[in-house]
Amino acid sequence: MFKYIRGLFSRDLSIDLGTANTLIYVRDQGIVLNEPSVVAIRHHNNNKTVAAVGLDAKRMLGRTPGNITAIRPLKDGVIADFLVTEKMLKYFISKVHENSFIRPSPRVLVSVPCKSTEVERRAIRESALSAGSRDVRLIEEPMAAAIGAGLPVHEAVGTMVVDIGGGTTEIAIISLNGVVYSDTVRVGGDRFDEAIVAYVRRTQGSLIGEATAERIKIEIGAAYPQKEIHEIDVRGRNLAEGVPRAFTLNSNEILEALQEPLSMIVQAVKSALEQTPPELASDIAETGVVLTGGGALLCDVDVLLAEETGLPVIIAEDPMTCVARGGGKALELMDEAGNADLLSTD
Amino acid sequence: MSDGEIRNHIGERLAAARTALGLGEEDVADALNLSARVIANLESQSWDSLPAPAFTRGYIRAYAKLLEIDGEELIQGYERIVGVADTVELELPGVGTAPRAGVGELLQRQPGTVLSGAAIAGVALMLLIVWAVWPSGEPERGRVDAGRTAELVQAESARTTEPARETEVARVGEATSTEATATDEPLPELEPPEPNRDAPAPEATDSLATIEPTAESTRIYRLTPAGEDRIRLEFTADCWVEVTDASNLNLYGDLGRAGESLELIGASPFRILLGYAPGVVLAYNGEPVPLAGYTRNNVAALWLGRR
Repeated sequence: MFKYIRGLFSRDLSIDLGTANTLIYVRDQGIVLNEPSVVAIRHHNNNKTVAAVGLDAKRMLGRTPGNITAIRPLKDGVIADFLVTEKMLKYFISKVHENSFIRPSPRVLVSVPCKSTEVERRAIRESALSAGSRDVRLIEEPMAAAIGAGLPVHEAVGTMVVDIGGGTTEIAIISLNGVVYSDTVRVGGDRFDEAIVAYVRRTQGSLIGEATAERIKIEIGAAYPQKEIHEIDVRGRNLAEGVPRAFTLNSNEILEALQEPLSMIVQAVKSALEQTPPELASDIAETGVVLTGGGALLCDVDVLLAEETGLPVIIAEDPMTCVARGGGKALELMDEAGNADLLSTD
Repeated sequence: MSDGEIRNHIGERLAAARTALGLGEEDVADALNLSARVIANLESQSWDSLPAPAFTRGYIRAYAKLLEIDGEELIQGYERIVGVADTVELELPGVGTAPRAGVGELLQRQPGTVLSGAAIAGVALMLLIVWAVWPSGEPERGRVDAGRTAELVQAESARTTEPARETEVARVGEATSTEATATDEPLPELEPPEPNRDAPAPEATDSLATIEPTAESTRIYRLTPAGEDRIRLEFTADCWVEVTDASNLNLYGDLGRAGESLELIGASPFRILLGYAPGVVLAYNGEPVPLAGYTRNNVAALWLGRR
């Protein structure tokens, strides 16, 4: 009863609980929150308190004193630290309801990776419930991404979505509001960063942090050889001398660094195409593969996939927010149909 | 170039850019992995023959990228063509895209806003009422509390300033009733005969008075409703007296003061305990009882009467 009343003052939320970023879409308002999924925990006499969440916490990553640890509570798209995830969700939900004086109790739709187990899904559900949600529904990420990208998922036409997220890449073939085939590879933006860190250590003999690696990836990262070569100046700790040193990296070096994770994604897409029923495969060959997720923003990743697969590859509008937007749209569709099971995974 | 012009020239601009680069439709189709038919449809703006807008947008962007022209401008033109309904529904939440919150959308949103606004106003009113009532209630409660504490303080002070009188009063009360006030357990079976308890007592006092007219302060207690066995105690020093019956039920317990006499009447047997035996002269039914044999560490414990 109480929850119902509180529900009147809350909004329906669609949460894209990602490894790298958490996005919240509010119906009629759009994306209202886009913050890194990072929580800074302060340890004090065996007591753990939340020092910061989101952007503030991300700034602390790798820069914390001994008693603060900045952690990412999600790993590979699923919950790695239940309690911290709950705290983070609670913070984000209350942040979205900043101007209301009643503790919010929204209806929430959370997207989950296709290959997540029952236990992992349950963990996400429980964590959203303990964060104060009134009702939690789950949707498979590629389905949400396809809806968010505006694909005709309800038609009897096969569409292929590749959602390159922070921790995972989800590949799914969708037809008639259902997932025909799906696969998850644990390669995403994080792996790109790690690959850059490893490459820089190998070639420059210097150590850089993940935040720096991410900056390099965003600024000069590319998945396909570029006509123009871009350069970036970075600073890292020289392993031999032990002191910070500045050096320059160019886009071709980063392209080389990213080869391994990119080839894993390409391989996964190819094997998905192999598994696709022929009718749907011909649809996909006709219309193309749609890329969503933050990884789709990597320069020329579509060109790489188009060359490797021989299929048209297009990048969705605003790929970062596709999943969250699609979740919001799915909530509306569920309400219109009066059927909670439509699209929902359980 | 105005919107209308872009709208009508998306295909033409693509085709012009393609020929400027010296590419054929087939070359573009190969590069984009699209069929030549799709390229032809794009250039002739046959939107109905093209797949869903999400795909067509992607094709235009990819094509423009290949030709190195500004794709966003063309896409915006295309979105106006395919209809506001579709794009607004799909694109309005986009953070990166241009804000498209039209008047119609605001109006659509209005009912919800009004409803929640009314609800919030209602709750605010309720809160205001609670607020209005709250402060007037607070001091009142405070006053009551203050009054009560004042009373308590008064009572406390009365008790502390006049302890002697109070104990005096208590003793008088004890003397007039045979109820053993100092006993640990109340004796409910002794209470019913209370009215007629006083009746024999004055008689006894009378008789005692005749026997011992010299006794200055003799207190007389009836321990049991029946029985005429008498225990007489004369105190030369303060001494604790405790009397229990055969079933170990406490009948009497009090401190005897030096110079006092105490007479206890009831049906034997009694077990009597004297805290300071040397300070007491005990007589049972008029016969003196020597305490020496029962005394240990100045405490005497003995049975009186037949067990």
